Amino acid sequence: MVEAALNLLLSQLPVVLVDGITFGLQLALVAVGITMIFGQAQILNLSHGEFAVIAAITSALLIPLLGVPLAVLAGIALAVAFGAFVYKVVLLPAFRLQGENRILLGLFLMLGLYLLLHGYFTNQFPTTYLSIRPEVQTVELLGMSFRFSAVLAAGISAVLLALLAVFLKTTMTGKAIRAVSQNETGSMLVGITVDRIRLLTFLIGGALAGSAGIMRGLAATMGPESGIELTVLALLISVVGGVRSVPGTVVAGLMLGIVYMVASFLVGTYLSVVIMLAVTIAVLVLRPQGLLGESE
Amino acid sequence: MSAYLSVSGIEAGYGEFQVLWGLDLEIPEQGQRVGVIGPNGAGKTTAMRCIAGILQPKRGKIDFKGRTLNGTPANKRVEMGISYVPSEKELFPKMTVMEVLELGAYTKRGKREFERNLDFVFTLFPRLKERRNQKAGTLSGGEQQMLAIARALMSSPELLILDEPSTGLSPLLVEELFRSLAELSERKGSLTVLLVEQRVPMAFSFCDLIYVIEGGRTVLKGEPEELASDPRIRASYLGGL
Repeated sequence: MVEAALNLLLSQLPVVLVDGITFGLQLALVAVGITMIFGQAQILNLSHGEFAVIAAITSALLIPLLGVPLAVLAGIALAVAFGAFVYKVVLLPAFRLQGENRILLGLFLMLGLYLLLHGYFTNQFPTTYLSIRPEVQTVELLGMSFRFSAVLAAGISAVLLALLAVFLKTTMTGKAIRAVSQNETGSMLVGITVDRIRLLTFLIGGALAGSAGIMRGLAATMGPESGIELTVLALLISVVGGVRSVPGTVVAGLMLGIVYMVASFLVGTYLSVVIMLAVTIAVLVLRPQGLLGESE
Repeated sequence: MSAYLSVSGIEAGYGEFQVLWGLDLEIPEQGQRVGVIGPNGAGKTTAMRCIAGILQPKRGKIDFKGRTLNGTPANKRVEMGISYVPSEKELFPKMTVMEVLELGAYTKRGKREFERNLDFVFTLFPRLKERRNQKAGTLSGGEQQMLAIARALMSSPELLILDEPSTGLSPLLVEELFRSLAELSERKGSLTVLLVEQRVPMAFSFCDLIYVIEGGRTVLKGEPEELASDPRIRASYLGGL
């Protein structure tokens, strides 16, 4: 029995791994936004997964009118615009406060925003689902056959995350983003306009979460109620990765995505969540600062 | 002719806790070295934060080269040539020395002379050149102090505000630092230095003009030789020497 299960796992392992990587990279796209926004503004964005819903629902509604490429871009553009709205309007009261007070008020504002958006989307668009199915269905790699949409979603997500890493590492604006999250006063002292850099971070966060929503629609199905699942899993990932560490977030996303998919394959979806949480706890017990986070 | 920098009657603090009660301070001419001394909690750092723009005074006026600074945010003041080296250093711990220096030249003003300024700070602090790929957070206290000063110099400042640059440094390093600072202000004749310093003899030998601040107000001002013969100063600051 055990041997048969093991053989099945081994034969299917590459396919399950690809699914895990695809899912993990989507979660990483959402989690880097949460990580960056928290680092920049001390705001824990509990509504971050809703950015993905905004992009997915908008695209799903527009695809019949505009076709896939334009509809997808419009969906992401709306998520970006919504990022600006959240920073400039919704969070305005929180930025009048400092320290713990800002964190708390920010938390409540974002929780409220999540409830509002979740209610709006599930009521207004209960049957709108984004499900992009390319004509090519499978790709052959090393004698194995993989779902093309999953490989494509993983590839696009990886490219987006790599672009973000290069942007943060090499451009002056990227360095300014890292500077603001490491030391706000120091950033002002070198002449950085902190407000502009924060706005940019919300725009990038909106774009990446929006893209995650589209990728989810490509690899699986993205519906009006899927936001909170993305938010919760992405929060786990940003904690496991080490809050404020973008590379750590990507590594954690891959790890938990693979653990989740392999566990679902072996023991089913319900227990796989338990296993994923157990791995999260184990990482945090062994490395309280997160995978790649540095102890202060 | 108005003074190069004039701070008049500023009142400032943190929330309900007021620190400055109408402080006055003036740098008459560009290129001078002005020192600020006073006991702990007198408001020296608070005054510097107001000049740098990290803190907005509740009352009073700050003029720089005849233009008011009130309401100008810190990042704009850097573009105007005011650079502040805070005593807490406020570095970026996870960035390399080189990245910190690049960010020091974030303004248009700094970018214009990037290569020259980089050469200059590496000549001034060869240690930083050796460690340019090391993370700022892993440097020793003295090296972090050098990096904080170097970062400020990368913005091509004309007014350099140094807040207790000798804190945490060994006496040997303090001497080295002040030799570098003297060299710096001699090489850049137009560079004005505003120095807050606990080690009063150091401040006296470095500066042309000294302000004594107590309880959030200016209580004395004068040239170092003048003040050194004042019995109050000798008793409280120079250890009765």
